[in-house]
Amino acid sequence: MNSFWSLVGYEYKKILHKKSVRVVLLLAVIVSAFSVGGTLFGNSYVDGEVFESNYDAMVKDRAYARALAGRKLDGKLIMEAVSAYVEIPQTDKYSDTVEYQTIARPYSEIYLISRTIFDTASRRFNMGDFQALTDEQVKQFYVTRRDKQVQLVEGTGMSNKAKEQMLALDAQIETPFTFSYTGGYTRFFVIMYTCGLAAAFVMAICVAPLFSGEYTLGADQLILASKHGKNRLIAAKLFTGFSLAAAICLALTAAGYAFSMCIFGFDGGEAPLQLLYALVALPTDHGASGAASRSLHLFRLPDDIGNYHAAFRKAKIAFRCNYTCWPIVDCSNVCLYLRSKYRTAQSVPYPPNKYDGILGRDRWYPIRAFRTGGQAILVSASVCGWGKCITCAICIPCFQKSSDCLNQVPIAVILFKQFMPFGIVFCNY
Amino acid sequence: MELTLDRVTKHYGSKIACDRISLTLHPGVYGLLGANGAGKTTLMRMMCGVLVPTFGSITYDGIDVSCEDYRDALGYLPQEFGYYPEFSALDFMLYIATLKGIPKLRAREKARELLELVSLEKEAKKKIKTFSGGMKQRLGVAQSMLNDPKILILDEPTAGLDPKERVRFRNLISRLGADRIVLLSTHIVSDVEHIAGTILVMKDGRLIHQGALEEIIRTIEGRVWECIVPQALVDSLCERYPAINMRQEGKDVFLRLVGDEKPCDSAIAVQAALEDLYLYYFSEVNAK
Repeated sequence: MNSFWSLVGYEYKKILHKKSVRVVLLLAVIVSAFSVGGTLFGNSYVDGEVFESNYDAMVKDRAYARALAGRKLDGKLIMEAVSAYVEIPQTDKYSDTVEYQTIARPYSEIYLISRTIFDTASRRFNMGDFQALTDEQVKQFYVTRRDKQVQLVEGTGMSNKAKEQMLALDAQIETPFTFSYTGGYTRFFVIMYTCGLAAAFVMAICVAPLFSGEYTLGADQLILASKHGKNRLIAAKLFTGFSLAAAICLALTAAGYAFSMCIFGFDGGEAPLQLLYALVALPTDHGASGAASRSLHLFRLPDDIGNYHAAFRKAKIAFRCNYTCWPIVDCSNVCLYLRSKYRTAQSVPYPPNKYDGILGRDRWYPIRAFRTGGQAILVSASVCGWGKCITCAICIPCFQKSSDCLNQVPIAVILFKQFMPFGIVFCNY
Repeated sequence: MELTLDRVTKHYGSKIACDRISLTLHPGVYGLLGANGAGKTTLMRMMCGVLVPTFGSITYDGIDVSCEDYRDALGYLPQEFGYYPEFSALDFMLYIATLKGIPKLRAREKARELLELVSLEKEAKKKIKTFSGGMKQRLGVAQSMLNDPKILILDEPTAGLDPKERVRFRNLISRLGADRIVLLSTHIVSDVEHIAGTILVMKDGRLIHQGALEEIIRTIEGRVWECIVPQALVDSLCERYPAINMRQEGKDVFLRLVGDEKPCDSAIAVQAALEDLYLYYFSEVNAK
């Protein structure tokens, strides 16, 4: 076994010693930084003159949002926002008005959240509608949201039991939401859409020559004539390929997270995910989403980790990863289940077809959770859709010897996409 | 200790690279001679498990060539092979040692010992991309001996080495052949002549001769001629007979030729050498 790890080490050495690999990695980090901060370049104009830079706008909006942080998103706050928006005169471009800039802009986040709730299939909720919101309508904010959620879930092809579970989860969401500034997380979630492409680019350069490089260099004969050249080395190369792909995903994600947080701010880890995705049916927060879907809990503050645990304990059976849709390739979201109730001493495959289909084009993908004597959990996920299927697996160390560790171990599960062939990290505290 | 080849055949489409080669090798040094394209490298690659024979079998003490145990007993220096340019000589040796399943501590010790043997100890930590052709070749020879192989297959091991290194390697290979099977192919006939106990001659994928040097040479005994001829005759003689040696001697030319018949009246039969045999079988004149 030692020689296996030595071979893995040499494979890494071969890859990382290449100048092209180092250049590509650096490029990917630069692209990641630019993806995060790119929106801050440029200015906004009023009457052909520079009004403010995008960076200044972000700083200003962040300050406004921070001023409202901690307040409950209830009828009072929404009506406060409505009152401010009422001051805006009817013009073609309301954002250019002094009234908007001075009175309404501090509540722009509230307007944006309200819009997602009050939008209907036939009519897009606009600024005029917001100005006209009545006290009665505002009081029905969470009821409207719930109705919309029910409608969405009912419209899916899930089994009735799955629908019930989905709605039960939704019912667990604490309302009213506590408002918080979430600019860093929002940006992080957005750039994850393209992170897969950058990762794929890096992987193509790094992983492609894993086998072919030996032929190109002419080292194949030496390898094939050696004792471990036809078996252990192949396993070592495969492991290197998978682990490197995971490491690249993780590194780029970490870079994206770090850039997002440093530029836009660390706030919002504890804010409910519904502030960003109003119709997500899981009682979890931004931090938990980011951590679980990208294993970034390692980079987060301890109190967030606590929340993350709590969120998972509450969610228990499901986690919906709400991003990493690469629209050109495949728009499906990857949904991973982790079932705590399947925790016998034997390896129990997860029922693959029990939960399938959620929210239109999104899918639940079956995940298999296996127990191995309480020491580790093997999670494998099959991502299927549009005629493609990828199965990945990873072993999650579990340091507790408790027989029901599956229930206790908070697991952050990462997504497997066509562009994200591998990547999972998790932890246990 | 016996390496057995039983009707080993390799086809590439309609081309037969090796044709029903049967051999039994025991400890000792075997020299494989043959022109380019004779099938030497193909045969060696099959013996190393790099190529799979189309037909026939290769076994070492009953272990098939495809088995890990066979490769465990094997050391191979390919004719042309690649190095990882960013690796140092020591890294490369340790990597090959890992591939050969040698424990780490032993590998480090053995790698240093072999690097010293091939006079690369001072360059052990230098990157291979800075090495000359000869240094790379020495490194190649060193890696082939890492696992103290029972079967050592060397495809042109002395190519690129200076005469001093060549002599050193010849002596080393000679010593190694005492308790293992060493098969080497080379175009440098004198190397084979000096160290190979048994010479194997391949032509067009077939083994046409095998035996000790004296036995092999006997096949052309009485067919090697030396003569001094006028310049005008040189071209016509060289067209009919493979010329082994040609030297200007005043207005005339000294020729050493191989042929079944006396090439000219002044020619005298001389003692044959391995190079004569090589040219006799592989010269363009005979190929025609």
